[in-house]
Amino acid sequence: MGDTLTIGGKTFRSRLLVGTGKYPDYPTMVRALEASGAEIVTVAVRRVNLDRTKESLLDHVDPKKYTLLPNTAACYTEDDAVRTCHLAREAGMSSMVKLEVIGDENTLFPDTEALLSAAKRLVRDGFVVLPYTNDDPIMARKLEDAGCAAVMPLAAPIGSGLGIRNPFNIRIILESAKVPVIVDAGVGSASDAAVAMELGCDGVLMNTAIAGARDPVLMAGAMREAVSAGRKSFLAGRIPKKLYATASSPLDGTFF
Amino acid sequence: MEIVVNGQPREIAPGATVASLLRELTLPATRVAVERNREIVRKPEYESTALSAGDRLEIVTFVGGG
Amino acid sequence: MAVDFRLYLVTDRDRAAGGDLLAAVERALAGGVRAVQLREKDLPGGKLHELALAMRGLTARHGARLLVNDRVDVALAAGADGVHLGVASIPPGEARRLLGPEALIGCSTHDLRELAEAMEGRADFVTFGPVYATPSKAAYGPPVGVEALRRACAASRLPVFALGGVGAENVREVLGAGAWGVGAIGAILSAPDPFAAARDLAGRVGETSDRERTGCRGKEGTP
Repeated sequence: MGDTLTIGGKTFRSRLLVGTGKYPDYPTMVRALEASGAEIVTVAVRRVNLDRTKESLLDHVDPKKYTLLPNTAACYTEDDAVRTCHLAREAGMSSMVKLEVIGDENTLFPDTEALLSAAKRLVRDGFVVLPYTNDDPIMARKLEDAGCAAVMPLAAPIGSGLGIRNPFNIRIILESAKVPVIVDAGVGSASDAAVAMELGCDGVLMNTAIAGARDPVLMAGAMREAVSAGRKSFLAGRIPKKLYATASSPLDGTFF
Repeated sequence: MEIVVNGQPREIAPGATVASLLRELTLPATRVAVERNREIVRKPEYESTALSAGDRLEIVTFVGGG
Repeated sequence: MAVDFRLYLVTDRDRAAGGDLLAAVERALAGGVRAVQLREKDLPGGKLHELALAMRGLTARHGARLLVNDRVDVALAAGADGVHLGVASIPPGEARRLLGPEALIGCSTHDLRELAEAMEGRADFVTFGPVYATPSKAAYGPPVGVEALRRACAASRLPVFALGGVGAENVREVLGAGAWGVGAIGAILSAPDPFAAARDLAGRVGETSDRERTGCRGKEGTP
């Protein structure tokens, strides 16, 4: 299939990116990641647990099988985010990072000023930056101009499950972006993911929608199909919306 | 001599290096990143970087996250 | 506060196995219950407060939420996580004003109109029922049935807990109708082994506490 996603020079077949947090247990996470078909999975960077009896994520996620995308979750300052990225690159040997600089602990909305400043520093340091941003088209353009490899506008607050709150802004971002646009955060249902792809987005990133579902493995499969269906629907070119009907069956040959 | 690792004090032998500390902690070097006094220690330098009393080390790895 | 539980144990000391409510609830918590509603409607304020304090200690030790039915004053005095309001309680909007944005507010609903009022009053979740016939809820009239539950779940912006005769044998049906979780009274409290009953029901609804899940918790472990 030729419809691939290219980020920072690497090509991927799956347009669904999945997080590794909040699963009930590691076996469920492993099965959910498998069911999702994701090739890129996000991870966080934290102090190693010096208690060696506890399991660790890397016991269950093979960096040879998945592309690990470290995030800078819980970073509220530009400096913390930049420091985390440098540590992440050293730990994982890849320069691709999901950059988050959080502005508020209730909404977890990005502090866009600090985000842009951090992005510029990281691009200068040779990172492939995927910034978690809001749905402001001006911000998206600034991040792209700063050299980010993609822009990742949120659909709604992290974990809120509200779906795309402002599809109009996302469409405006899509109109001018020359880098991949990946909706990140706030997806709740499979239809939310399909809607993102039908708008023309290049991918969707989600964690809670899968990990927090009652059956994460089943939901992961649903998301895989939704992203695929939404992408096909977009590429297929939908019919226009009309107020009145246009008959599907011919009027010629009627016998009444 | 005493150093601080991930916020906790720890006694180590004189002459210890980053590499020997990781071995003592049974941590595979491939899965972690090490910061010594806020400076990242690159993996090729683990064997040659000696630790000093009062050093503050952060040893991080990847954990689950969204 | 987020609705981070799927199994909601509602107390009724007359139905506790062995007549010892606190012991039965303790067994249920050990079995995996993460949220308890203290509902003893016939107790006067003072006695309810005493019981609430004991229940607060128990739930806190197990990292579980405690809500007090109807009595906002008792909930506040005992340090509960919130209140559960019935149709005859003060409106949810008033409770929210008194308790603030962080507290958990649940509302009992039996039809779409009560559900709409709960949503308008900024409650965090609702119970809906009685779905099946049940002794505790006999006062509320005949069971509303699964189809009514399905319509309520479709109409609701808030998590819906199916309540009333819900147990191991029909959990699947209510979850399939769209319920976020289930409320249980007798299924756990009256069981010969509340620990096993809780464990079984918690497993069926996929209950997992936030602490046990994979991944980092906020800023925990940041260098």
